[in-house]
Amino acid sequence: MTMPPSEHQPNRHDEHLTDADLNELVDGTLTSRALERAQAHLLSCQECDAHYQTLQATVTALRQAPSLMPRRSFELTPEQAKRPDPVPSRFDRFADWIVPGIPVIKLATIAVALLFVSVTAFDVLTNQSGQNDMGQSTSLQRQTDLPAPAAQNAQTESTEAPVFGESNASISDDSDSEIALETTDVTGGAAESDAASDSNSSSAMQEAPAAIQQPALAASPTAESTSFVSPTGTPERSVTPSPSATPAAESDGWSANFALSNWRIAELGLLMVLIWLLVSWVGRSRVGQDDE
Amino acid sequence: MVFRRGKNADPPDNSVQDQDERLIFAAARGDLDAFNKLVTQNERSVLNLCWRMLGTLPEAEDACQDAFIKAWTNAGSFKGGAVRPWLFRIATNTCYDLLRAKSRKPTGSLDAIEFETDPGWSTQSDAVDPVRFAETGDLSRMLESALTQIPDEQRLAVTLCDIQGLPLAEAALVMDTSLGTVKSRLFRGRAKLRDLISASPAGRELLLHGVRSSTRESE
Repeated sequence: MTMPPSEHQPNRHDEHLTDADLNELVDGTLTSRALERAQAHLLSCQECDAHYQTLQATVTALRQAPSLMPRRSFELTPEQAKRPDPVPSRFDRFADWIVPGIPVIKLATIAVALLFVSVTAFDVLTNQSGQNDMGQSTSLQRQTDLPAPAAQNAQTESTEAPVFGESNASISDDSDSEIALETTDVTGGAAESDAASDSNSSSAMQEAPAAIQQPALAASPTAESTSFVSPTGTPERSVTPSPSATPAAESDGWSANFALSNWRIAELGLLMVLIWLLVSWVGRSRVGQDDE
Repeated sequence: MVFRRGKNADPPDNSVQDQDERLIFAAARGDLDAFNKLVTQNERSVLNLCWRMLGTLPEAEDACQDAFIKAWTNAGSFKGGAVRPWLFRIATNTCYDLLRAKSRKPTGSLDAIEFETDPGWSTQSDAVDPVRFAETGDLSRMLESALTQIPDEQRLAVTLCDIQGLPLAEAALVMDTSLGTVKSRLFRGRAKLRDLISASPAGRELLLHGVRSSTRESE
């Protein structure tokens, strides 16, 4: 063994040599100056000299250690030299795993596609018939939700051709009732007629707001249920118009549900199509490799 | 078991190194004959390395064969340079795998190493002093026994640098470590071997006698 010259400087001659010093001395890699110092110390130190001698003998014995002669040849036979197949890539491992199941996956994809078509058709058919049923139920609902006769009359009156004088008051709200009163005052007339007209207008005014409120409530699909005081004095709860209460509202809600459920099914169907394409691609590529 | 004495390994010259390189590159291209030529040139040193690491001959032979099979399989990974450190690196890793699998140190028993003559083996051709041969044989036995009792890394350093004769730089490649670390392990291994052999008076005497004999010969 050859070692490069060491830069290690041994201790002064009065200090014991370290193992590194002794090894460097055995290998002959100390510089000339360091060598002189080490040899001078060994002459004066029996302990270090003994260590050096035994270390040198050990290294010499190691370098002269006998070596085995092989009992047999280690040349490779053709069987031993057969190189293993390269480690398959992740893609190859995936393909090996999925290729045997391709027929099953294809059948499953066809089944899911048929299911998708049947569910969609069923959904379309049921929603069409449901729409017809909804229309009938809405009209029935309106009839059952009519208010009390007094209120009903006020309602019908309000829907009929309004009288001019009263109509102003009927259309107006509380703030406008003052204008109607003033109008009646301006037009003048006898006190009796004024009183009569006042009473008529006041009654009309009482009924009109109620009459106005009801159609307004019915017209708004999003109106919350409100309580109002009917001319009879009893609070009644107006019917909350559901989204299906009117044809326009019904169709919007129904179409929203229809779109939401079909969208989900469409997502599943698209996923199946993608899996089909992936499996087909993997299968074709593996077949191509096998052919090669 | 018959041993051939003398220097265990001649330092390879450039021509040998170039030849080994050509052989390994041919093996990488699938030339089994070229690889087997390389095996024949290096099987002795690889076997001895495995034997020093594992301590028993059957295990050493198995490890040696495995090492050459791995070298053939991975011939394509050889990038050039000295082939012997590359082979030794594969053999060392194979031995470490076996040691890890067994999770034990090689036995320190002298019975594991038998000096016996096998007709199938080549016999010693050098003329030597029988007394000296016997003493060397005893010292070798003690040395082999002591080798099994030092840590694996120190044993590998001593085997590569002192027994196999590898330069420090090549030993660092085999051990996949720095020059300083190889030197440190080598020095500590030598010191431990010296202490183990010197622990017995007979060992100390053999060591000193060996020194005295070599001193007389040099004079």
